[in-house]
Amino acid sequence: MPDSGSAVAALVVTPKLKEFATGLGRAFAGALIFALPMLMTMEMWQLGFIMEPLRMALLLGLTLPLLVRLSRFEGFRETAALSDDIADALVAVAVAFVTVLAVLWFLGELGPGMSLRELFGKVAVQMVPASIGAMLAQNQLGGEDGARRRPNTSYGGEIFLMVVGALFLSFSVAPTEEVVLIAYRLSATQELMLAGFTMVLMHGFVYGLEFGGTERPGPGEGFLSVFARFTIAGYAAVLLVSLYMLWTFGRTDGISWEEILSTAIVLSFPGAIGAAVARLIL
Amino acid sequence: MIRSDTDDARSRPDGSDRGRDGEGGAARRPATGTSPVEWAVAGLGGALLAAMIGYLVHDGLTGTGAPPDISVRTVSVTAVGEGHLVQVLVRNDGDSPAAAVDILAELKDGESLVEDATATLDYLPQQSARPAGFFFERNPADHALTVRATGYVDP
Repeated sequence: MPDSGSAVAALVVTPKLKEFATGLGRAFAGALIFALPMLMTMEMWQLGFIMEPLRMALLLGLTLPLLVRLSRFEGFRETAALSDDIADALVAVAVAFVTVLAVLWFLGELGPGMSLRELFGKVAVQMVPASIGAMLAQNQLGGEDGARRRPNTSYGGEIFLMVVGALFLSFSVAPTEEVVLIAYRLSATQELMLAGFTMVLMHGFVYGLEFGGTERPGPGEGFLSVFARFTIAGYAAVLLVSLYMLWTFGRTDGISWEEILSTAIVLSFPGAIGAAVARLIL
Repeated sequence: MIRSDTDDARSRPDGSDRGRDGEGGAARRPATGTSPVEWAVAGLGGALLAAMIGYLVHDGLTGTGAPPDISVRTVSVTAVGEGHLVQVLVRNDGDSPAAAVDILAELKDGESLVEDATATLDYLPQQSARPAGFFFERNPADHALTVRATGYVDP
């Protein structure tokens, strides 16, 4: 393709205001749909002021590059350059902020007597799922003739999508007491079985069932190769995401390593389902 | 990184058809640039994100982590159905949140206890205040009223 630089420049259209408004509306819808279960969870409100502020700042800081990367795959539109992806990511952040603030206020969770710390904390923790939801909205809600990008995803891209899916699903489960309670009750054997079952499900979701985006192993790829490169590596990524979530939410403080690991295995169960589904639908 | 898949011959530079042409689904939508309006919204998002992270980092680095410092202020005493309602505002001036905060209200005549009432706040965040109330049979105006926090647990 000769002279592709100028061709690209020529084909970058300036969006009409109406298109941006539509995208924005969808982003609000996405933020609402994805974050509403968490917006109506008591543990999430309490996390706002219980969470270590530096860990919360780190989580928010990591959300931005995640959104930028996600905008490559999804986003409000076909993007031409990195700066456009950054713009989309920041729009998702703005949408998430307004959505979270409005919903929390309507639900009576923001009231007089609240400190700035409590307000910022409550909004910040909810902004992570809401901004991911805003970013995914175009893909999930957009009626754009099914011409959505099927990214010729690299290996790193596949793992990234799994991380997003795991983050998203474990976000709604990690703050709850139930995760700790379940981990507490399971024996080591049961936990190993749960981990094995989780991996079988992950593999089955992506390769076995005939979902819309079912992946086909490439030619010459044996079962073991695919299983090791995607399912085992993916499960490891999910386990790391689970550990990070537990640490962020203060669920690792003063807890023994065995208990942390078993909580992470329990949390990886929903996380792995999220990871597998993310590879199919994103 | 510039995506090179945008220079598809069927893409329309004016964006009028945005790939809806049904040509076997192979047509790609042209890349869309960023309009000034979108940059404005993005700028707002960036400012909000920076403000939040800045505030949280500042709070994390300068916060003393001081334990809960709970004080109770009486707001009003009103006569209700069967007795009297004392409304209070419980404040936590410490840098740590408190859970299961027990509040004890006592009516005394000198050293002798006339009546007491308790209330429990599920959560009392740092630097925040929450309202609470107590019911008494006797009129608090006739006795000495004291309200204080008696205990909490770390959330």
